[in-house]
Amino acid sequence: MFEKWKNPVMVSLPVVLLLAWVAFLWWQIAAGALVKIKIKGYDPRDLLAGHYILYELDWEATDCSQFVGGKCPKEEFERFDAVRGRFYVPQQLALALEQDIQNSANTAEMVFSYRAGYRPYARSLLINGRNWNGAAVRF
Amino acid sequence: MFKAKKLDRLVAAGIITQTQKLQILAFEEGKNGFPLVQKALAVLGVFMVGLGVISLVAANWYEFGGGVKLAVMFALLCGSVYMALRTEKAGKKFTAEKWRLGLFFLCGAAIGLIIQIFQLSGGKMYTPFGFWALVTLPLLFVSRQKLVSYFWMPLFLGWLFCFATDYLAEWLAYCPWVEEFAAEILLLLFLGLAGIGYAAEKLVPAFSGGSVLKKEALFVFYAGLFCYILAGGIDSFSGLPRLGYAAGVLAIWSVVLWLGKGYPLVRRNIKFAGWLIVMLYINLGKTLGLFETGVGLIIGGAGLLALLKYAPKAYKVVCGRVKNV
Repeated sequence: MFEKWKNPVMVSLPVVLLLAWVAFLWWQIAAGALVKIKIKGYDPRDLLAGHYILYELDWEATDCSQFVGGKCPKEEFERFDAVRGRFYVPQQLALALEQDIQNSANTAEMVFSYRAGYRPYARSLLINGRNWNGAAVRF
Repeated sequence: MFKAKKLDRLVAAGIITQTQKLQILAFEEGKNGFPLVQKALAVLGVFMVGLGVISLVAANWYEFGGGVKLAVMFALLCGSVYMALRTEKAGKKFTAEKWRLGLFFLCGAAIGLIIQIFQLSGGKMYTPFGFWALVTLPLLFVSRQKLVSYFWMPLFLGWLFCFATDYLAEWLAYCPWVEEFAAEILLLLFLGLAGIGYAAEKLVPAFSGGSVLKKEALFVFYAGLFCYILAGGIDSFSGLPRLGYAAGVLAIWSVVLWLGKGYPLVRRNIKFAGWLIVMLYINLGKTLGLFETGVGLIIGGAGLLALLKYAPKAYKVVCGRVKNV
């Protein structure tokens, strides 16, 4: 019995696992509330940089009133290694976006799906309140 | 072709007959169902198709939404699963293996795509590779041709190497001796993996990764040992203890192999012992200043000549015994 089903089960299992992972990520993101956190660009001398931009959260400039108790969850973001991160964009836009983030005249924010106690997920990048790709921002 | 030429020479020398030559060739042909060139071209074909699909998606990245990209990727994954199962059912074993290999590569591409779509960052750079190995592990339990294993195992061993070195670096804060013995720990880790591969090969024959794990972990172990002994010869400060540890590992490992009747590896260990003696000579020569003065050079040169004269004899005596077992 097991031998009969072994081949189909074992060959399908990688796809099932990937589907489960996608479903889990979707559920995690949908369960969180969207929050905006100010960011600043940084230069970590990353040889692989190009199709993503690198950012660092700027808690000093962030409006903490959007979080429960009016306190920014810095420790939680640190625990999930989300204080610095990569945001994937088309390669031809990466340099211009990086310059926009580093320009002090602009306001750069990262939109996260956040739920207390869970990993925060970056959803979008805002430059002066507008989505990086011109798409509408949904809150 | 090379085998046929070698056999011709054996026939000419009168070691084997023409009939025996033909029998050997017929046996070898039957054993390898798929010639190496055909296999290599098939792998190249699968790789090119996979690369083409990824390039196509990457070039039109900006045009597609995340949902479309995921849908295309999962359609490709499901198509590969279907073809792998269909060809297996039709008895086309090697074609099924090619589809499983395609599935293996597509899973890697899918993980990269999911990371980009869901903007997952942070954590260690090597983690996705570990996840790729984990997700595709079930393929090794149905793969009889070892083609998938030959790609899966370097992925797993590469991830394990990064993981182990990273965690050894973290343990430094708690166990200072880890820094001193990091290289030895890594060498023993790969030797242990080779042992696991050997055990898996014997205990779970359906798991095609067992023999490949054994071969590739042993390759990493011996490559690491070669460099370790080389470093022992060059390094004047901690070289001698290193060479001592290497000699200890080689001796214990050879005894274990001898007891398990792994004579080919004992012969390999003897060759490594020769390499160790050469490096010991260089280390001692540097420490004693043999390469710096005229007298030192004469003593050093005489020592080297003596080594060249007697070491091969000792090697032949020991190897001859091992070969005859």
